[in-house]
Amino acid sequence: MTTTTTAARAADAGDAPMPSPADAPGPRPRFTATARGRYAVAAAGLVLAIGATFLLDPYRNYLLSLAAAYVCATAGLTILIGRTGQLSLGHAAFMATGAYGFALTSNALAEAGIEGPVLLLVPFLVAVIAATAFGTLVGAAGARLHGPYLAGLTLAIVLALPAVTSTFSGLLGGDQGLYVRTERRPEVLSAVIANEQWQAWVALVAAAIVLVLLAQLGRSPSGIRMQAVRDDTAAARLSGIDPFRVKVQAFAISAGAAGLGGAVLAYVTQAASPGAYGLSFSLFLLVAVVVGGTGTLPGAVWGALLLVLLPEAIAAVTDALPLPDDAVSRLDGNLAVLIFGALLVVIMIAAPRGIQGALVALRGRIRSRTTRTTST
Amino acid sequence: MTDTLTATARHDAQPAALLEVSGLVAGYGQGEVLHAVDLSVPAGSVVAVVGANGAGKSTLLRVLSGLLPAAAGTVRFDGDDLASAAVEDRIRRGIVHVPEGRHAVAELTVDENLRLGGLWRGDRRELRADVDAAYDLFPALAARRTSHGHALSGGERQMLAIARALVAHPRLLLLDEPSLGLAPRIVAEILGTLAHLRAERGLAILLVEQNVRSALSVADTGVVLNLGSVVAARPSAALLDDEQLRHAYLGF
Repeated sequence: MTTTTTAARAADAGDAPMPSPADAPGPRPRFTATARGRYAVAAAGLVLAIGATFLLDPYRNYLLSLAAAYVCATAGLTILIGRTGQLSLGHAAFMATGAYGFALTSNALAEAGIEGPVLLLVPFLVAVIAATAFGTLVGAAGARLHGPYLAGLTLAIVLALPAVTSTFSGLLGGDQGLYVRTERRPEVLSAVIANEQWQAWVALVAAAIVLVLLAQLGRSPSGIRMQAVRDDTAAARLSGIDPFRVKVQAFAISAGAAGLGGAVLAYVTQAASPGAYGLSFSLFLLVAVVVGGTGTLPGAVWGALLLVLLPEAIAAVTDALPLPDDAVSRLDGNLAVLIFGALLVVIMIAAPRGIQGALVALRGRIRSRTTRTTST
Repeated sequence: MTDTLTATARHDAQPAALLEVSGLVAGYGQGEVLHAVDLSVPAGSVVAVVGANGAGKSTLLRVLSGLLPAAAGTVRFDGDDLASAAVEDRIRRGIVHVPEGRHAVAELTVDENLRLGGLWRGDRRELRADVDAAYDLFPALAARRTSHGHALSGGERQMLAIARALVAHPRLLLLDEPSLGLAPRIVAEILGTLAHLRAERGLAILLVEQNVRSALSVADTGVVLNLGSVVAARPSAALLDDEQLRHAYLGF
């Protein structure tokens, strides 16, 4: 349970994900950026990423889609931990809700002979609504619980998932899960791009929407309420804020984002199964958030990329080494877990604010050095 | 609300008090802290609650703002009994509590902290005007509007806590130990601002203070609380003149 306690401590101790003004001169970019500036950054990032899909082979585009799906979940989780200080070990379950919501809707629509944009968009919408509703329920149940107790509640939800899918195996397909019939790329594009590339576009758009909406939350009235509830519940209550409502709202938003991530995963992999959303995956999401930099959206992106790239890098290394086949297959599955754990420990010691915190501190140091040289 | 805002507000001179507390009982768990407290705050007046440590002063404010439930008794505000109303409801009606300890939200800027006070109204333009008005009252805060709560000095935090409460449009301000740990100059500045608000807006203030002399110097009425019971409620000047009472309960 080292991951839980570290994350809880990081969230509780006011261990600000972004550095305090003392060690980072200049304004904090995330908070001072105007809404229009954020749209511009998001649009530019999206265009760049979509451009990059042309340079990648189908497998790498598939990996990019996975990363985009994970970004939805880690961004939702980092807002929950960083803003209202609520720790969830259950975000895999919200992703699963989104994935099954997507799968059931998409299959039903395909069964009814519907295709085109409706077959693409409606399942995503249903997935987000289902995950948000589930998140509202869990949030309401957990709003009065703190730290490890809330973590325990969310843990129970993840652990219950296989039981739910096998109890309703007629609907949810049991341990096998569901095969998802999805809309393939539009006819006009079929000559130009592979289906994997089209899926990557869809996934990137979903991730961009999540990031922009959550960034908008930042210093909006809702964002201020959440920060107040986390930092000083008494001050929040005495400002007319109901902490219960704010916490439930944060949980709902976070779960909705994770649900969209699960839906993207179901869309890309054309499957929704309980095995994909187990406890270890849930913990990986949390580790990704902490390693990336708790509470920051760029940190959520770093964490998601790491989640996808690390196993790939490990596989590349073990393939290159002269090892017997059975050793390679054993390492492939387990080495990623080990390295993730080690990485968490190292990052917590070397850069307690995660990758993003380290980057911001580095930029601040460079900036202060340049201003010093220009002023003399 | 009355326009006679001179320092002569008395119980008998007011038609009906803004806040009328009677038989208020409250405590923590098994321990009863307040035993049938009666108290009234006329509109536009300043009432100081004084007494030794552990007299129940802060508990009284916590019950009045709704942070702590009342076990018995009534809290009439503007005619309605709010004894079991939620904190948010009381704020909407105009009871705003500035607790001891200067709660500045650490990760929010001064400006965001101030906006926090009026978010419940939902009118952004009005909120902006209220925040700007708060800066006019506390110019020291205007200079620090982009600083985070954790970067403020004790005096700035206290000003911020009071200013945030004012953004909520209070009719009755519950102030807990505003002078604790602050330089006399800053205390004088804060008290001066509050006197101005009372004259300007008819703001009523229920002030809890350890510093009896400075509290009674700004209050119309002094209420002496001892071990959870009111032992005296008189005009401030009369309290200061009563040597026996002073020796017995106020220690000077």
